[in-house]
Amino acid sequence: MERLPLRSAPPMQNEMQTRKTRGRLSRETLGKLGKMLEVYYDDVRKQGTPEKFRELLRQYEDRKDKGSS
Amino acid sequence: MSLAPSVREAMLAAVPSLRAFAISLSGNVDRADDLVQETLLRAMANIDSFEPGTNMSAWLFTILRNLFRSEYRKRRREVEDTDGNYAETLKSHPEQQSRVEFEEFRAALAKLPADQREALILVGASGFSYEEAAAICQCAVGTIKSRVNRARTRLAELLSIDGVDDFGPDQPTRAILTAGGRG
Repeated sequence: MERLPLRSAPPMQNEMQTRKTRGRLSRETLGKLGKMLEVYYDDVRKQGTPEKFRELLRQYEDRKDKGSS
Repeated sequence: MSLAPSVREAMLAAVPSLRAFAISLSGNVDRADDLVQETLLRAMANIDSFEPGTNMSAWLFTILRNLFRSEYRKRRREVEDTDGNYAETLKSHPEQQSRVEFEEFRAALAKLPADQREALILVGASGFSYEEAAAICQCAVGTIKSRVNRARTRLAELLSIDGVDDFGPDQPTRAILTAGGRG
């Protein structure tokens, strides 16, 4: 059976969380962070461009057209 | 005056990323949308200073960041709303991430210094190169690199996904549950 490098004990948890990270992050960690960041902002991105912003541009252009004629 | 269709489309296409960036700066969706609106207005008023063929998105991000900073200076006395407001407005959460993980990530992100968070969002979530991010933040490329690096290291630390003894997505959740169970 494959041995997993199990993290041992809950009592160490606080220590683990506060310890300093040495050196570079692994590619895997970077990938994971990137994914989390992506997922975190996915919700707002999925909303696309709200209609109010299209409307804003239209209004601005209309106003400019009237103003300059 | 009408905008060239390609310019108009490029501006509108940048809105989703601009909103995400504005939320990360202001921590508040309503204020973020105000910022995006103000950015678009200012961009249209100054469209002559945009060089066709250059990166529209980077130009808009620069305007938005400058607006935020001048506004922030004015409102310095106000209590800063952290990213919490964003989470509250979300109706659905991504399936891949549990509510707890999402919350934990939000909290970790909020703990980063503003300049590090900003650099991380630009490079890690908005698709800019280090050079573009440096231009947006008006600082040296090396500064951006070091901010991004520190941000990632700190996040990995806070989320316990750093280093060789990493176990995958369940670990942060377990860490919270364990910590919550004691004390």
